[in-house]
Amino acid sequence: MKAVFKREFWAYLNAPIGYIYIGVFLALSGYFYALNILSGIPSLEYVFANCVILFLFLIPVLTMKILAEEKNQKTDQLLLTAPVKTQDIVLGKFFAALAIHTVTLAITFLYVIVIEIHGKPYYSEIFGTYFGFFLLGAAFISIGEYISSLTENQVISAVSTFGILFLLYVIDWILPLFSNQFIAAILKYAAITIWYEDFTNGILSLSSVVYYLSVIFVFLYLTMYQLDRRRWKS
Amino acid sequence: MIEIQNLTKRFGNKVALDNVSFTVNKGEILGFLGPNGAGKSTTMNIITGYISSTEGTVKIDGHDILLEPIEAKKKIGYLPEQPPLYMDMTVDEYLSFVYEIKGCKLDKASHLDEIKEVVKIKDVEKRKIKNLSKGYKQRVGLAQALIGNPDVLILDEPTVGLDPKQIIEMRNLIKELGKDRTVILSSHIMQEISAVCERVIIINKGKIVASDTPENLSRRFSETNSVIARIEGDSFQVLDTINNIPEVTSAKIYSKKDDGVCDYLIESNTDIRRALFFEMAKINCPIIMLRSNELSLEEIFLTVTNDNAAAEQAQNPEGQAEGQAEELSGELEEGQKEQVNPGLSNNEKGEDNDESGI
Repeated sequence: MKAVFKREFWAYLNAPIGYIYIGVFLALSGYFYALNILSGIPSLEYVFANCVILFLFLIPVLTMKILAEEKNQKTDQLLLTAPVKTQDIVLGKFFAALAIHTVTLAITFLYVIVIEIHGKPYYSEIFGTYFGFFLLGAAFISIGEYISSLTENQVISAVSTFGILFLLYVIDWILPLFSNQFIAAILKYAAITIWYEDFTNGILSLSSVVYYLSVIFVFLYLTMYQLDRRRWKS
Repeated sequence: MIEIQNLTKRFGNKVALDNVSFTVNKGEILGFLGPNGAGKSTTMNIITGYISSTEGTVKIDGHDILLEPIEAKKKIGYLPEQPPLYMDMTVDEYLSFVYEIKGCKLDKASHLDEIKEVVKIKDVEKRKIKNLSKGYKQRVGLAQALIGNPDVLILDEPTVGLDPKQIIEMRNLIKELGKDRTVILSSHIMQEISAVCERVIIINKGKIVASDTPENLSRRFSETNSVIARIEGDSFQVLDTINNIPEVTSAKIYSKKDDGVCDYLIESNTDIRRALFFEMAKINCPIIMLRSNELSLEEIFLTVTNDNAAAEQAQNPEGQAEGQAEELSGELEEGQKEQVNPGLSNNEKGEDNDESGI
């Protein structure tokens, strides 16, 4: 797993893609932050709310090539015939993308430091939100990695990942329309961004943590299944 | 070292491999010969655990590739048809990655240096792989397969796309590597197989159609004591004289060359080359060329792959249309068959014309 992680992390930093992700995220979130500061609000609530939308656009960029390009360039023949387990390949790549995501989040911590110098940030909310972003990003990455394993084409991978993430995001909007408790409850499970709201209020909700970990587990498992399928299907 | 039993692979309705079994002994260089789309790459992909078989087992040194994949894969170095290279890495970075992913225990610097020396890529070690020529890329692919000193090397068409000098270098390298390793080498080029391999398996349409040493194959498929002689002189007189040699059972004009020169196909009970020489000397008809009519590996290949196709058609004449529909995806294979058929029929036509010309 270490070798795959190193190679993948290296590839992000030796190609435009890693910098596009980090750069675009920082530029846009910096813009929202500046607006926020100019209005004199010590809370980062609005900045963070906009960041979720940035993730919807940017995580597909991070994950689009993760497995699709391996298949396209036939380098998957090297990985799948090497004496490593499938889970090492899938996890190595997952953690590499997650590392880029985490590095980006770490840089945005500068925003908090600036507020600290000039005012009083609400730390419980801020740490909660960062924790939520970490989990939300990881869940998005696992979904993106799975979709990338289904195709050889990076564009198809990116567009479908964005489509699916966006759909999961907008479920939130239509939830109030359903009076049927049962349907509403099921849709709530699909509305992936709702679960992170507890964190933004500074609550470390166990059910939300379990929810995101389950999403990550399910999609990483599906990715492994997808890679192994070719090898076991008879 | 490698045991393959009753391997069958189906892609939907299409049977890519049909009950293929063979073993490769330790230290042997096995050639895998077949037209494009015959199932060579599929077999290799199954042996290396890249895809699974529909039925049958593959054992590498006693380890089943599906049941103990890690153990089995540790013994294999694989160079697929398209070398699995990361174009954005330099040669050194790439080899270092392969070293790590294979979990190699040998001393890294000296092991990689040794391999770079063997495949002669030392001079490009700092260059990005995407900027290398095809020949170098192929060699980096081979270097990758050699990392960890695997006992088994599986090379899928290793000389494709190389220039003639590189082809010779690559063949010599494979021979050298085969001295202390088990090698399976696939190719659709016959000279390559006969130059490098100790044993040949010819595969066509997913079935093994022949398996032997190149020499034995050539002997088995050649008619005994059949020679082709190119003789200058009046063809009636020459044929008459040949037919008068007691041992000759049949003689005919094989093909007509320039004025007064013909190739004759002569079959006999014993070796008649000496007798022929003296008889021709008597009638003042010089022999310009004389060779025994042993089939080259290339001709054997065309014979067996064509026989196979013909036999199948005879067995199942209605199945042809069906077969073609099934093979829409396997256009290459069809293309190859078409290539083979006209070649042979032209040859036959040529012979017929000559005979009618007598």
